[in-house]
Amino acid sequence: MLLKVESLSKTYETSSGKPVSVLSDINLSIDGAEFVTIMGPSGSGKSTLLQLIGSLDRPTGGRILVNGADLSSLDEMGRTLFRRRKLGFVFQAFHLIPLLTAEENVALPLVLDGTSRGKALERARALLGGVVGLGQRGKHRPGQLSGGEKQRVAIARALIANPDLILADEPTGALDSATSGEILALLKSLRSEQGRTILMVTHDETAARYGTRIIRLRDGRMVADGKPA
Amino acid sequence: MVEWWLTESRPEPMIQWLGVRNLTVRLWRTTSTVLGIGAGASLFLTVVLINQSVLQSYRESLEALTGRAELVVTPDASSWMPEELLSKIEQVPGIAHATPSVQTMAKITWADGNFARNGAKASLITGDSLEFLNSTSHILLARSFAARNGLKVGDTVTASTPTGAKSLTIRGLLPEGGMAKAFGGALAVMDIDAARKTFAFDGQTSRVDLFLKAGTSPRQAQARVSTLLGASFRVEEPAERVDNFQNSFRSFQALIEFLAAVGLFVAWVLVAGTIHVSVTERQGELGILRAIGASPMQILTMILGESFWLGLLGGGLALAASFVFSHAMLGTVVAALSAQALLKIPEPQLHLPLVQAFEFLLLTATGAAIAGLFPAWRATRVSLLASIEREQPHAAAEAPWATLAAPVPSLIAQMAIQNVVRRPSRTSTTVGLLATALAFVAVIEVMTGSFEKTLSARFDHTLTPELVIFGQGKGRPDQRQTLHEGFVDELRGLPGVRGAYGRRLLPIRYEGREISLISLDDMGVETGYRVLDVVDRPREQAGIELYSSPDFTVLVSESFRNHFHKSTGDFLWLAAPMGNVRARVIGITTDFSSPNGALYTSRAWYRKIWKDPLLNGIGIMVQEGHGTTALQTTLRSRYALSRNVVVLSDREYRNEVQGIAAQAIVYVKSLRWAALFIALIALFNSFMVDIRERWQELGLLRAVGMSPLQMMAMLVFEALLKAAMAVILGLGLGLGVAWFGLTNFLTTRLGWVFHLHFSWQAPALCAALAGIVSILAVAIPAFKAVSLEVSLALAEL
Repeated sequence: MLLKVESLSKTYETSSGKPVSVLSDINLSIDGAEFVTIMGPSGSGKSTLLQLIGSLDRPTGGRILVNGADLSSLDEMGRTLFRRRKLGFVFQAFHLIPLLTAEENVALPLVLDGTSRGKALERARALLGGVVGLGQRGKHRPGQLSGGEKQRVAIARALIANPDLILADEPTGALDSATSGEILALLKSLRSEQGRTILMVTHDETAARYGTRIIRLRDGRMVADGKPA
Repeated sequence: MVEWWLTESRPEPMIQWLGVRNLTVRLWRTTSTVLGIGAGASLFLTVVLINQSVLQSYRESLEALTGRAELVVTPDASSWMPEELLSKIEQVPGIAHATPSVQTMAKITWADGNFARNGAKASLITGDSLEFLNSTSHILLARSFAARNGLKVGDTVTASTPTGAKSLTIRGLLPEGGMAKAFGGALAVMDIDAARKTFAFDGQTSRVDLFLKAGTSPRQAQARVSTLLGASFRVEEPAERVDNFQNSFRSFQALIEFLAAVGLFVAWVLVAGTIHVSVTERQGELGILRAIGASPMQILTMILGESFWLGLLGGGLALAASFVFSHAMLGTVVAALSAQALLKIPEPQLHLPLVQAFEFLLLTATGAAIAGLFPAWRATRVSLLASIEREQPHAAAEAPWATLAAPVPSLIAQMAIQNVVRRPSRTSTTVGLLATALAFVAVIEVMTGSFEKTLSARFDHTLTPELVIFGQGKGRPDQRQTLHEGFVDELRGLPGVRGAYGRRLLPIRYEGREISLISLDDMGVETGYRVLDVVDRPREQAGIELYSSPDFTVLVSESFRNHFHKSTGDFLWLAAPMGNVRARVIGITTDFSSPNGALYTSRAWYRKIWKDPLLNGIGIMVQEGHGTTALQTTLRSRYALSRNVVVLSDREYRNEVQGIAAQAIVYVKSLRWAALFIALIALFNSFMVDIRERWQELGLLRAVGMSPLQMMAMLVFEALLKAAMAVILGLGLGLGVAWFGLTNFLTTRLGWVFHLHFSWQAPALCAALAGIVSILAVAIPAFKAVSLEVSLALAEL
């Protein structure tokens, strides 16, 4: 089992000191090569769940196990290494570094891990030219790319370290429907052709159907877990 | 279970290229920051460069003059020594021969009206040139000096001497190198007996160069000659003379270097501010980096790397700029240092060794990296979620003090106040940067103002003679051509002259430090002895005691008292040409002629002990009913050319001295512009980021109907509010430091006592400068804000 979430909860405190529960008693497990989508209305806690699994935030209760390793036992450096080597992130707003070119953005996780810049860029070019089909746009900066192209670059960046798990937070939220379809098809092919495990948050039923499994949240609780209709 | 990816240990890789990319992409900000650092650092380097070049130049001049001499004998207690000492010195075991010389400064003019800035040197030349030796009016000039000024062998020049102008004929040119290198070639050489006669040094010698027999150690010979001559003479190796020279203006150097170091410090503050702003601006980017696996250490090294590069580039710019500044300021600084050291310092060639240039670059870069530590640490603490979700971490509109704006009737002003108070971090950075620069301005303004005011006040209650006469030349009266006391007698006999009084300033040494010995003719009790600025007892009483006591009495300056702890009633021993003499201290006076201190005595006693007939100036009292201007005109027409003197009214003299003082502090005053320039750049960066952070908010304001003019007014008002806060903070800090500097630093390090003078000018200047700097800094960001595309700005919401 790749990912196991046990009794996970997250509570925030408001400025007046009043606790607000965002997630409560979440239990789920994900195997390799699954494409799981998390759905739910605004405020249901789906993004918070993704952030906790992505070790961007710490849970109030429960634990998250990735390949058997408990994320809550990791110190700051451990969490950094986890994100660097075991996870790939794809965000709704792309979150590319504006001052770097597309291929430099893709190469970044490898460079951060100590790979030489030349080798990292070589790998980035291969990824851009191969899986995501942006071979001609490697030298362009994010500002010179369309929304769909930006998201393809972000996906290539998520893939470059060959992570166990790809986390995608509303990856089509900022795209038109045609481009959204292309991006979702790309994610789907990553699972089917490369055996990648993908966990995607979305509020779009159409997007959710690209996955192999749908988990539904409401008011911070898991209300359904099953295959798409 | 522990995973491989957690246990694998390899050093954290550096991601410097990302930081460097940030600097190259944000080129404007990088350039402006580098300019700011360059300005601050170049001031520091300029001061260091000038100071060490001056020292090096002085060393070279000394070496050129002493040639291969191993020891140099100079009088400690006067400007001369008796000629008969020479034969005694030559009999000391180990001395091969002793070469005497006399040195003085004289202005030289020639037909086309040019003049030698450094004056001429008169000293012995050895050789077989009978033509040169057979006349008292023959001189040799350095070939380079002659070439510079279009002079050739056979030309005649006029030298001002204590007894008047004298024609001298150029009989030869000194080849390049050797003695001709001294004082940048601005020297003349003449036969020693001719020099003694021409410059009133009858039977005197001002320096003896000693050459040792083979096998004699300089230390041994030094000890023997010192024992023979006693405490009244200094026997030094040439290198020691340079050290002593350096000691004489070390305090002044320390003050200037301290102020220049503040410039460097402000430059580092700019780095801290720029990096702080950059980190704030790049919160999102840093969050992404952290999210995709950048460790805190990598973020830290990246940001510190940026700071380091900024420092290095700024240092590089400063290296180039400092040479330009040094050339521009050299004359002023040399004049200021000459005034401090009581001797003419030749204008040096600027020189910076490669190693020192490297050290300087390392200093600016390392300092900048250290300045970047706090913002870099902040960068490692950036909230991942806040960055990724594009929250504005500073948008704490609920800050309790935001309600401060409530009573303000204008909505625009209310919004401006709220913007200032709801971003305490940004506001404190902006205000802090400007306040640092303003504090610096206030310190300089108050300290130089106090200096000028104290000097002016001293004139107000001490100057008595209506006219003063000095030798021609530039600089302080005691650095000009001396006059002979016989001139005073001549003046006393002129119609309209009620009295003529000589003044002599002689640099002497006391307990190893150079001090001024000032002797004055008695101006009579009817003047109330105003010329003696006695501070611890009635002047009249002190004057009577100074001029009528049967024993040798002196007044000591406040600086002397502070350094040597001698006050009224104490005794002190002074080295005089004929041995040590005991002086009784009868009062404390104020004097700024030497930072180490000054002694005042009567010229009758001075003449008796030092046997020196020379004067540095003569004061003239005008007879009642006889116009001062008329007498001045008469004296000018009679003596200006024949004796090569200037005749000044008390007002003109005062202006001249104050001009010299102003020249000395213009160097210090120039530093404040650099501080303000750095602040301007820092504020511009800060305002720019502030506007960028509020892009959507500003777009919204425009969307709901705020006009460009209203927006501009709001932003300018915000800038002025911050400026007002900086003025209060900067003035408070600056006044505190200035007070400490005047009451502690100057008193303990320089010995001078200045009274804190605080006028409306310092706060007015600070407020005006703060307003101007703030408006200049906010102009472009505000223009950018009013020209924003509303739809694009709102799209980012």
